[in-house]
Amino acid sequence: MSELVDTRVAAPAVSTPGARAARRRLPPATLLRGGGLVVAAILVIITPSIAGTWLPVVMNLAAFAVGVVGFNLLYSAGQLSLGHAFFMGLGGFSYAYLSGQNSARTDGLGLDPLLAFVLSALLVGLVGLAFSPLTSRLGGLSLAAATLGLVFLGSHVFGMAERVTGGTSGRVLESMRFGQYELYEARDIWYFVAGVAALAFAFAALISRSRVGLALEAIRDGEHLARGLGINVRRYKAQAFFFSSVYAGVSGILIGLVAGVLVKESFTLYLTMNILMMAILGGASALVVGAVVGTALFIVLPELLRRYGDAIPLLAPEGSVTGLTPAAAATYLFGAAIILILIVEPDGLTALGRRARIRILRSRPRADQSRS
Amino acid sequence: MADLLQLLVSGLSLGALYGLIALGFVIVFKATGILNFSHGAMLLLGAYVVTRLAHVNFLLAVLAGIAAAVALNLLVERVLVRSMAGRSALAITVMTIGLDVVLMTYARGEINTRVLPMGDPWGATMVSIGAVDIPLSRLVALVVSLVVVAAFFVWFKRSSWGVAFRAATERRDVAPLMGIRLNRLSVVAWVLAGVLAVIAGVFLATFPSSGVNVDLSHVALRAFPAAVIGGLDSTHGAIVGGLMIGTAEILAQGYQSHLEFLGGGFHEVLTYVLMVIVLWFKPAGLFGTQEVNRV
Repeated sequence: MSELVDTRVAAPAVSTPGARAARRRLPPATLLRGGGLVVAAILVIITPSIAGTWLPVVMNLAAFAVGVVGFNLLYSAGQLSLGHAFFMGLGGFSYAYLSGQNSARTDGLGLDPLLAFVLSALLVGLVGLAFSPLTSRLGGLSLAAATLGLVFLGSHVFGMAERVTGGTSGRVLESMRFGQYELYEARDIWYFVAGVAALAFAFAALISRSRVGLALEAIRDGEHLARGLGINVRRYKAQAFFFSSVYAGVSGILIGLVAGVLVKESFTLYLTMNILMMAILGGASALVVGAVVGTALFIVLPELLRRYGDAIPLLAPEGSVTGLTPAAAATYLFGAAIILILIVEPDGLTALGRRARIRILRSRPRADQSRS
Repeated sequence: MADLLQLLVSGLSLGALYGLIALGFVIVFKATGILNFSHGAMLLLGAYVVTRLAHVNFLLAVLAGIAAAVALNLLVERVLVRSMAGRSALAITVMTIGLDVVLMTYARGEINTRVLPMGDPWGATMVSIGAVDIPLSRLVALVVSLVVVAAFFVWFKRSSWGVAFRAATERRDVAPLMGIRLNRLSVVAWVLAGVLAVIAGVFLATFPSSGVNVDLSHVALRAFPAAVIGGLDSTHGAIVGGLMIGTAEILAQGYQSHLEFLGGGFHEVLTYVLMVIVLWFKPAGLFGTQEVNRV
């Protein structure tokens, strides 16, 4: 269900003699997963040294992927929530308010940033719970309608609370601090963001394998059947919505910490649409891998087009008013990709990858045996 | 008092347009069980075609706009929705969001930051009826949408198509056994949705609004709560919901000075507040059928 990294990276490890001996004791899936985790950990550690100018992009990737995991938690249970932009903004601005200082333009409580981080994540979760009489009763499409409303209401509230959000010019965020040690360098911020993301991913993987995850799967396959099996549908839906909003809130804070500043205009319907596209691209049923793959594509491709767009003949230069700008080209590609993916393979790119892998393994009989 | 009357008339006019848009959401939902999130983009593109051709002849331009939206919707139904037959309504709904992204990117490239005047024959003319001064375009909008809605309901209640629609909503699984072709219903629904969207789009961009810009699709999205408030599977619910939110929006705008504590521009989000309140107490909307399921 949730291998944590691209298994192609870890695959060679299986065929080495040492691993072949170990396979007798451990099932290959566990080995793959373990190997994948090790590779992921090494990647996280060396990223600041090898990423260069791509480091901010990678940081954004991790920050957004947390929000996409939150979206997947609900979507894989058959619930479409479009309220993500609101919860992300709520998380980010609560952190800004709780940790920030009073100034001419903004208010703040000046709490310890770490405490503010935890409190705002909890606050977002509580707000998510407060809507549970609404969200737990509504099924898939009506939930989409109700949460769509939340985004617009949220934009309005953010606009009204100028002393919290900093109005149209946005609000600078307090850096994360551990005691006296302030995370100011990009390298430090990366380790914090990656650490939080890793925890979030691990927890999501645990949730999906827990009672809650099983119950949500049953709800997706048939709400009434699930109720008939004695599953408290409304409670589990409320729980899923709670976790999903906490993830969105944490993602909002991380995005703010990476950028250093939050602007209320970022948290509109477009953000929700983007999150949705990332989730569908990667495949919502692969909770974590899907989120990482989808987010990576969504964030890296526009950046590639922006940096190397000169080499592509059809593209107009960045910032031009007419013609196909890199941003527009990327949006076209993603919109079309969403439509294609949903028609061809509803489980997204990770499912395509899984299919390809199975086909390749089938063509090699020995590998086929090791899978069974 | 005259103030209130004036606001009520404008509110009803705007509400009737919202009703048309909501009706488009509802018939597609009734025929296919999905929410069509590309509706707003269709409306915008149709209205855009009208502005491009309005200098020739306004009526012809409107017909061309409708034709364009209908053709596009037909294409969407035949190619995209059809190839997803049998998939979950959720997946098809998400597909329409992807479609919306593509269409809106195109629209944004075409229209940019411009505001294109509608080029309608009514301009900024005002008419006085008793104590009420109202833009002629609003009055025409009200009359046209009432005529369209009346024609729709006659068709819906009297023709065999209407019967088929209602049967399909009631029991999707039994309707085909009674000789009802769900395929054709879906085509008709998408075509109708296109027609309704463009009619509403044209009037949403006439005076007192300044013309067609990219945000017109957001105005359409404001009509979405109308469909939800009325109940997603209720045609008359859509009209009632539309009139309700249109009137509420104009009243909130008119009495803005009394509502300052709710923040500027509150009337733009009022429809969503109403939607959340209605959903809180009636999850199926005011006139929607409460789902009853046997396992």
